[in-house]
Amino acid sequence: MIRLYDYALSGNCFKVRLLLSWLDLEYETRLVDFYPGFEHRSDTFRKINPLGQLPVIEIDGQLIRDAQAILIYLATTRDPLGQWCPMDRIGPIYQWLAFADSITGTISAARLHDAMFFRLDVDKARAGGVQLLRILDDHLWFAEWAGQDWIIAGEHPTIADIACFPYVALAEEGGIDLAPYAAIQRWTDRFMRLPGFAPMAGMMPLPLPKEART
Amino acid sequence: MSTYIVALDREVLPEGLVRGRMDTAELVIWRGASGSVHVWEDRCPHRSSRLSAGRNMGAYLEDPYHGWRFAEDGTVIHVPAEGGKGHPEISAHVLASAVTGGFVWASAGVLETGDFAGPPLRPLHFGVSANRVAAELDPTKTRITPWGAAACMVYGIDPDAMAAHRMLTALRRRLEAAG
Amino acid sequence: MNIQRPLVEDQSYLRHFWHPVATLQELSESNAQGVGPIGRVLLEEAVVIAKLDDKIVAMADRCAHRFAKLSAGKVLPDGRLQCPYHGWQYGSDGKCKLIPACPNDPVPKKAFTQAYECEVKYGLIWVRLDSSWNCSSIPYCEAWENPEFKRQIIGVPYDWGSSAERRWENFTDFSHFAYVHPGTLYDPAYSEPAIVPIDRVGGELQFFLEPGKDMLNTLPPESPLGSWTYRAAMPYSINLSIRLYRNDQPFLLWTTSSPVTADTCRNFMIIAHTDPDIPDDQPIRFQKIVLAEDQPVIETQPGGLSLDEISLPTDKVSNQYRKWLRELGHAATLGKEAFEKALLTDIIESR
Repeated sequence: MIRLYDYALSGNCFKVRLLLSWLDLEYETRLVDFYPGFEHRSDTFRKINPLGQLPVIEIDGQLIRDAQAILIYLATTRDPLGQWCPMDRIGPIYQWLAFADSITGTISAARLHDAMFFRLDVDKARAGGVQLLRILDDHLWFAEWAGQDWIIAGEHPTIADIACFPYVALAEEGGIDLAPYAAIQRWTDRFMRLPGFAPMAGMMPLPLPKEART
Repeated sequence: MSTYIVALDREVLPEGLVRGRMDTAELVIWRGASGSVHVWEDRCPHRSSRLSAGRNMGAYLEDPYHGWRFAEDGTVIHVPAEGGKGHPEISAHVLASAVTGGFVWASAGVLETGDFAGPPLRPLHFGVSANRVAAELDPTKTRITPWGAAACMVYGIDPDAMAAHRMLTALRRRLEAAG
Repeated sequence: MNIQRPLVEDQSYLRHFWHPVATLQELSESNAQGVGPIGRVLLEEAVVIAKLDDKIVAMADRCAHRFAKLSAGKVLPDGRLQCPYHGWQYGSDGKCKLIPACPNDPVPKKAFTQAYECEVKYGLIWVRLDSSWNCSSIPYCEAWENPEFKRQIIGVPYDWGSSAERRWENFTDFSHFAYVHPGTLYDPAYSEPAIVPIDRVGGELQFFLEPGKDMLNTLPPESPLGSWTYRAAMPYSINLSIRLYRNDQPFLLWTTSSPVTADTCRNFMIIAHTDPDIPDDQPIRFQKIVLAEDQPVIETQPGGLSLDEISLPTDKVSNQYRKWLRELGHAATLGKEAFEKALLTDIIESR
């Protein structure tokens, strides 16, 4: 059985939940009270992850820490069709997973400041976030121009989309206006319309027309 | 009252909602089932929630808070709390708009789209005022829409799209670094 | 472009009410001694809370000398609050008692910071910025009054990027349930709310609502479906007393928004119920889901209420609330007598 150390309002945990559900994998959750309990900083949890970070997954007799690492592990061991992490595009995929880490350091940090009162330099976090959103918006705009829907060229979305999606979609909770990034908004729209997508708390209600949902 | 470009025509997708701005007004831009593009202020006349957070259902736009439905002409056709009653006397804040040359134009007053057509460039958001950007650009090839006092959106035409995009990106970096 | 006209031009009437600024728990966890100081913002004003000589006090968070924040200072063992910059020491009345740079000179008369009335009730710290008219009281909460309640939970305060008025209207809004909370609080099949009588009693808006019992079959068991009795002390408090359909037991949802700025608020929540064996995080978790459904929608609304917003008869609660806010705002510009009359004159519609 797969076990996920999880927190409902964490975008990084949400990524893992999304992929688990898209891969149709059964798992049990162990809820960690990130805020306001700060349970991830407790001695008990530090035995599971010395960095005190979520998510962590227990799978195949090992503990895997870090959202991006978990996405790679699941996509390469549990996806028989190889759609979520196509090996012929592994270079760009790793590059965008690293980009997702930068998003956690900026946009997610701004959200932690605004929504959970973490002490950090929020102006710097927001400015860094805006730079990343511009890069992503540019990339997606020219991808659309070339007839592509996702971050990595191809018919099917990949773990690069999953890794970048949550904190971008939650950016306004960190005081970053998404209105200037039209290509990003079209991409999040497409992403949220994928079959089986369920939003996490704080994301706007699904923009998909109710009547069109089958 | 000025007329501004607020979106690229081909980026206003069916079932989609595009957020834009014009001076201080936030906009929602959407394409109805009829194929027409509509430019409204991005607030519900009822409780001012952001309509762009609602849903484009084709025949109508639905507000996210109380589910009011607005027809393509802006009038309220369905209030769930009143059993689906319509209110033709209530309307969204509709702006005059038109689609020409691949661009969506809008105005809070009289619409004057002028002579500006060509292959549209990728629109770029600048974190500096419209005036500062305007001083640097060729008005026959660019149109600038203010986004509040300290930001703007630059729309342009140029046969060499990639070169023009690189030039605009470099200009943005320079102007923003100057503060 | 439409110019948005504010509902109430002059917001200073809000200073005459009691507002919660922190939980007792926040103060006790602020440092090892549990005495603060902690800094809060109320109606755009920085306020420092500290426990001096076993008494919790509130004062302007600004040293009279060079305007340093007293909340960055410390509480001394003798019960004085010390400024972090030059060490000026303040007593619980807000007056400076000692200036370390010139300990032998008399302290100047102007060396004080504004002290505010401060009370502790329901595990919350309440502040009233202007007590000169003294005609408001701390809002009603049923949690410790009704002996049927066996468990009271004081929630961790949460902040929203919307005004306290918007939060209040959201909490009392019947017609958004079917849209924003389908499957948690309400079944979309019942989108037409009843239009109920609304009374003004002792500074509270009071009304009663009975949602459809049929929804019991479709909503999760945690959903507090029952008959809902609202006692909403103006301007930002709501005591929602529920008699649950599923077991005929009482359940209390109490919430008060504290106006931080014109477009941000800090919200305090108390839940009371009859089953001492339910772990506290169970009802809290359900409320968090409801809040997460509301927050992104409400935060799309601009801060202040606007006269230009269109209202329908089904917005009766919101309309009555706005009407009273306008009356209170206007009365406050006329003076104490008018304000007291506007706040405490009862109007009974329900009979």
